[in-house]
Amino acid sequence: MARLNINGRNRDVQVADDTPLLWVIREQIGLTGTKYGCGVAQCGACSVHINGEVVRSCSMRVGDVRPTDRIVTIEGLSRNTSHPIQRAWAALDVPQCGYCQSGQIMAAAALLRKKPRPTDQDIDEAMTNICRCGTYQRIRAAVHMAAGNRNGGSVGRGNRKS
Amino acid sequence: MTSTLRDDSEISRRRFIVGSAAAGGGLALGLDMPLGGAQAQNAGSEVGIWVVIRPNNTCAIRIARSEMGQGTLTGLAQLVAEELECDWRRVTTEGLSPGQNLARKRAWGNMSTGGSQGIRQSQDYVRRGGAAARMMLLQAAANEWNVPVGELTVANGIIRHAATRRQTTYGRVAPAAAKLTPPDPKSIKLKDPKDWKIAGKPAKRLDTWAKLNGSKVYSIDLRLPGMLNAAIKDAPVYGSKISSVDDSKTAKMPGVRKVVRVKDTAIAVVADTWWQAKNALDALTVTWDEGENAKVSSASIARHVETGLMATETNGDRRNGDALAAIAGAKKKVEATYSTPFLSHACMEVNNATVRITADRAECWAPTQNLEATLAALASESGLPLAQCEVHRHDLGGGFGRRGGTQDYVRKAVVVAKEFPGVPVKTIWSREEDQAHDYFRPISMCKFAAGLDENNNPGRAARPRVGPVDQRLAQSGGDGGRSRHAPAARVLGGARQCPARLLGAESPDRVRDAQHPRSGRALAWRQHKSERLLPGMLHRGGGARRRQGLAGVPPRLDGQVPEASCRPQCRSREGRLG
Repeated sequence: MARLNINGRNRDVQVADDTPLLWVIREQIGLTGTKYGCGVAQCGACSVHINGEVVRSCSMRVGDVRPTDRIVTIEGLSRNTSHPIQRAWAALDVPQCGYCQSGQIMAAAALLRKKPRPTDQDIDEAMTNICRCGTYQRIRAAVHMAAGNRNGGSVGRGNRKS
Repeated sequence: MTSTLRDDSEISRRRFIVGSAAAGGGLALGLDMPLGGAQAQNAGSEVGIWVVIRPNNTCAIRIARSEMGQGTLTGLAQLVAEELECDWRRVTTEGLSPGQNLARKRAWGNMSTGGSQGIRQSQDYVRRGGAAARMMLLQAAANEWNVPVGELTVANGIIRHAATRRQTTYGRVAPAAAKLTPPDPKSIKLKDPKDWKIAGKPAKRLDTWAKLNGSKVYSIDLRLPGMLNAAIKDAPVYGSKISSVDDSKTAKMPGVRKVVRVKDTAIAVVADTWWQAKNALDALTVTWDEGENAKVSSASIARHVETGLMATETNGDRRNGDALAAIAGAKKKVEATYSTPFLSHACMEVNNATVRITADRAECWAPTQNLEATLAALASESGLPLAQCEVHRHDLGGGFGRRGGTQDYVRKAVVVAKEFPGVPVKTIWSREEDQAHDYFRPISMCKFAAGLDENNNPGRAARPRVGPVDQRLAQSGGDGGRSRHAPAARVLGGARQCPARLLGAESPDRVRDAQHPRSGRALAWRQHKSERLLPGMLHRGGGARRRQGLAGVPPRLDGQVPEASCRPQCRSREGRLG
């Protein structure tokens, strides 16, 4: 039994304490935007925010989450997909297959909260999520765009207009 | 017809894009409509087989191929829309199912998506489909106004008759157009690509929005009422079989429903949730009869490949002139050996499939690059006729060739689901299982040798002008590599030789196609090696500084890799160049 605060709602779940938070979010809560990628905190597809910090939920026991901890998943990041990161992701068409992008967006949003004007190096250090399609250039460009950085970083071909 | 559509979010996406990117003010209002899934989809008129037009002028373009991040969904829609002359801003897409395709005698053609062929193979007939719909819509308007169709013009889905100053929209005439007989595709004259406004132009992807907010439902995300979940473990050594299973601990674990043997080569645990299933699977004690392949090791595979590389016999490859003699007589000799390891496709979305089987129907939800192959696998494994099977389309979290012809994961999921008639069972491979039991890209090693003349040019030493090059390849099969002990059972053909033709592209395919279960994978290493040899040769030789313009270098390779980008590799390889 655990009480979780997810996207502003308290949720009680019947689940063993050692269940990874990821699987509670996906299976008990039913929010599937948070993805399973590796299960060992390497790929970042499962990234969520806990009290504003980005956390790889596949490797966090649900028993270690306090009822007062504020968990935010991709579904709760913004209303109407309006977070600056999401808008920049849309403007630059960042995703390819899209599977890793929930995690990428959550990591990028956490980065901007800490560093509203990140440098290329800040982005590279903070964004360690794996994208098998290789959208890294557009991710970097979109973080700069969301931050309002002009001429920030090296913008790849993703910075196209349609 | 009913459609397996999952594009309800498209309109929301439009609203979002329009609202956030200021792409044109009034559009958002016009599209502000709640789409209720099938209901709204069915409100449209099917004009030809590729286009469905709704009363609000939204054009839903049907997509037969799979989307896995490569953008084919948008590209195909652009091709149809180009000929349709519709308003691109009002285009959505509808995914077709293989059951629909089968029921209509494969009207939508091949659904397989791989080898970068999705657009190439279907671009002609989807354009004709768009053009056919346009012709039918214009004809419907001409009939209504009783004017010759030749007097009508159309742009952005608005049909005009200049002489009488009348206009109408696709949405209005679509119901009448749907009743007309489509024109013979062969009679249709397509636009000259130089006149294209939509196709071939940069465009926003049509499917981005749902990837930004967690609303996109990949196959692994599927939730069905009463669904059970399975975790699965494949034989750790390829070709080995289950010898015994001790499930005494597992049976008592929370949520566990059943331990299922999957054809003696895999074991699965079905539970209420996947995490319960995985924990129970980890608690199982399985003894395997590992067989011959247990003896195979990385060292034995390396030995095999190296031995193959040294072999002198060829496999009947193309042979122009005597490269070996020419190289032996050349002033300088350049030699390089390259190797590639077994590679897992490593899709971000691990393999998974949900299957529900009743007495007379089998359904599957899976990430697949070939919906029809999935349907066939479902039918053969369930024992039900094709017509009683259906596969529900999901965009893939990566494909890379793993999920086309090889439907092993679907077959296994069917075996698991058969144990629970009428209940949907989702089988998910853990990352470690997915990674370890891939159909790997084959391990390979390749040696190139080339002779250079006194000016360090590769071209003058022998006929034909470019060359001579001796290319030898040895590899070990990918299918055999599905385990920690990649077996030699599937090891391929020894030495390869491609004399007297620089970067000879056709010969390495032959043996592979004849024997190799993973055709297609060879492409990567062949190009990789060919691409690396040439700059290496040039830098080594020094005389021919630029690959461009070398006589006989295939144009598609010429300049494909900027020379500058090759330099560090060339330097690092210097020691190995003879």
